[in-house]
Amino acid sequence: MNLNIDSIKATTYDAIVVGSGISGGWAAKELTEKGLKVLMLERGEDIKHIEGYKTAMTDPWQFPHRGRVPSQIAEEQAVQARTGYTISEATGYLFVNDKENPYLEDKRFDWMRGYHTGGRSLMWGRQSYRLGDLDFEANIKEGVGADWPIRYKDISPWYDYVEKFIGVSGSRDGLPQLPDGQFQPPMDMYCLEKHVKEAVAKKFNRSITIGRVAHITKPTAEQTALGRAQCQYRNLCSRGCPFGAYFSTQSATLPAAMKTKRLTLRPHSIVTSIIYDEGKQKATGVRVLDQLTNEEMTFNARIIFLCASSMASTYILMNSISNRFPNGLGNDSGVLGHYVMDHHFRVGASGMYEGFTDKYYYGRRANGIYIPRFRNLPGQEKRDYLRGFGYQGGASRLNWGRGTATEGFGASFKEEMTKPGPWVMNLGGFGECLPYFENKVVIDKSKKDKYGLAVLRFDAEFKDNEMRMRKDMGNDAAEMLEAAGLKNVTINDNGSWPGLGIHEMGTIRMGNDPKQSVLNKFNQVHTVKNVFNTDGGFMVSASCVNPSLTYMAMTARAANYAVQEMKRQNL
Amino acid sequence: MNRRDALMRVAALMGTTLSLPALADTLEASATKRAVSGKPLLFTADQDTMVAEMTEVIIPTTNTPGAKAAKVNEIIDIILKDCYPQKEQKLFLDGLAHTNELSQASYNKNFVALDEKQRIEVMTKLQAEAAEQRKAMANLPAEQRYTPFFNTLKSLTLNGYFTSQIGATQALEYVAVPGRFQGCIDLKPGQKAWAI
Repeated sequence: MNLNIDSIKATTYDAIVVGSGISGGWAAKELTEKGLKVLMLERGEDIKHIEGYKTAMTDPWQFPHRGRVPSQIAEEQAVQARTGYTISEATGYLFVNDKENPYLEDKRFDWMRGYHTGGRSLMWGRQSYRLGDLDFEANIKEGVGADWPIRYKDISPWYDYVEKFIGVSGSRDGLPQLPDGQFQPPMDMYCLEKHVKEAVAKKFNRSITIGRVAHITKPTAEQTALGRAQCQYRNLCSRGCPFGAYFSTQSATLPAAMKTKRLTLRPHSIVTSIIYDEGKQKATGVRVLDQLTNEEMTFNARIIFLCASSMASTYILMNSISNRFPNGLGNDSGVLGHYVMDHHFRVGASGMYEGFTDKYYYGRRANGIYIPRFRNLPGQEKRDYLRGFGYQGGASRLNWGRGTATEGFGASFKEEMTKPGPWVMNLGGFGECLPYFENKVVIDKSKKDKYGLAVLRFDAEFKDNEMRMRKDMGNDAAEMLEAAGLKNVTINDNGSWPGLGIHEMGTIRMGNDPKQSVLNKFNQVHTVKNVFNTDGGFMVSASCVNPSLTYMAMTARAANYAVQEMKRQNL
Repeated sequence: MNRRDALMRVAALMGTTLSLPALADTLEASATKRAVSGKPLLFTADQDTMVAEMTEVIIPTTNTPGAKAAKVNEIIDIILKDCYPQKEQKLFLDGLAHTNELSQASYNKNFVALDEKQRIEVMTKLQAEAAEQRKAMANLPAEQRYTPFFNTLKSLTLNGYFTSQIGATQALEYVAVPGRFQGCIDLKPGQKAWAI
């Protein structure tokens, strides 16, 4: 009887990748391309590239509620709707049902999730910036949190590598605080943006650049071979791109991994924990709950890449209890689940411009402008807070929507509404949040989800440093718009809560000191060498730039290291 | 891959969904029900006709078709039914009744029986009343404020019309797949605003 041996073989892989989002897709691509047989586990349903994007080609009039969601859906996705933009008739199906996927909030925490193949790579904002040594050295220089175990030179070649593959459109600006990358041609700016850029450079010596965005503007042969085409400027990205023009798992890493014929993708597979073998002092596999059948099963592999998203990966580690690790796998340090970070935002300014009424545009740019950090740079006068912020924003001409706020109706009103309205411009700050030990997440067994699994409980908040920064974020934006001659400039602070930036991170941090970190400098669990975490969990500080590009670069780097270590017989 | 190739590929891969988007049943249910039965969902038949006439006063037929041709009343009926809380549905229905009261007081007729000039006069009154209501509420806490009937009607009419096929492709200019982006070019004389 070799039945058992056969069944072990059937469920044994070289590597298991938990999660199919931005990090998981990269892990699967790198590991399969390096010859490994990989099982990718996705907790939700399978969404196929192009055919699965059910609203991607829908015209505005084909939506029965013209974009609004019925009250029933609004109620089922009340938490996911907190952003104000995620739950629409076009995009709501890509976000979780909150009633089926609850969590607990000691303090407000907005946890935005997409449980399906590709994860949030389908709905992400696509802004792609590099961290620099200003970021990597900040903690040690200021005595905040722990030191990053890497510097820019360690990650820089990996940024090059991922940018070339995914395609990042942007402009090279030569700024030390925002390193340049391997860019495809930048997108154009509106006349008003060009005007503001000039005025701000002249008056404040600050740079405004076009957003660096993971869209193809000039496809490479490699991208074309994967079936990707250049951006068609529809700006309907968050419905899924049928042209594969922006980077997602489906458009890029998944087809690359599938091409090797070494990838097995298993949807509906909720990983509940990692199995630790005390004798071998290694992880041997993962426990999975089948989302459809509720059946429990295990899958085995030589290495495990945990890419479930920072909070879900934290959950899995915390839920992986053994005699050796009573507080969660690899958690000798006790930092697992602590140092929750996100960017704080929703503060900035907007104004109206009286000129350029004879100027317009063609196409819908799926991108904005970016103002790189200009506060607390080396050699500058220090502000009353640490770190800094950048702005995303842009210009537009008001549309017919302006008619709701003005008086009038009838033929002349209709005629007016069919013309482009005045130019407006807004700047919204994205600020760095410091790592605080007391900002934490734990598993709370008092509440269970649809599958009978205990849920996460969040206790995190922005503090004084962030609040002081927000004053500059509002004032500086207004000052720049006013300097460019905009009128009716108003400062808006709509409040910010952790999670809402959808950049939640930091709860499985890396470091050189195992007493203060879970992962080493290769994203490898210090004490369980065949387990890697490469989603936002590893982040030691938040920087103020969008983090996904860094997750990709660190995933590729960790995968390369893991395979080297396997070849050296160390794993 | 050039633009034409990309479009061809997407059309091939999306197959029938290109012309018939498969939205979830919960989204389609009301529109289907109204289309099949031919009856309004929230409105009575009279209210439905009245809303159609009122939207036409806001967005009349000019050199392009107006709100009635775009069936904006149907969209308002569906959106109010599915997306608005009962309290706001009632505010809207009360607003219709009040409109007829104004109309009766001035002309001894319901709104739909008025001529164009009279309809504009009643709507002008509604607009002025709404401005007064907003002014009176300006200093109240948010939970005590509400959107006056006229503003709800106008906002739903603008939304319903300019996102309709008639509004988007005739009153405005709609390009589903622009294929390129130019950020700073001349506005041509008489050029219409982009629909999206």
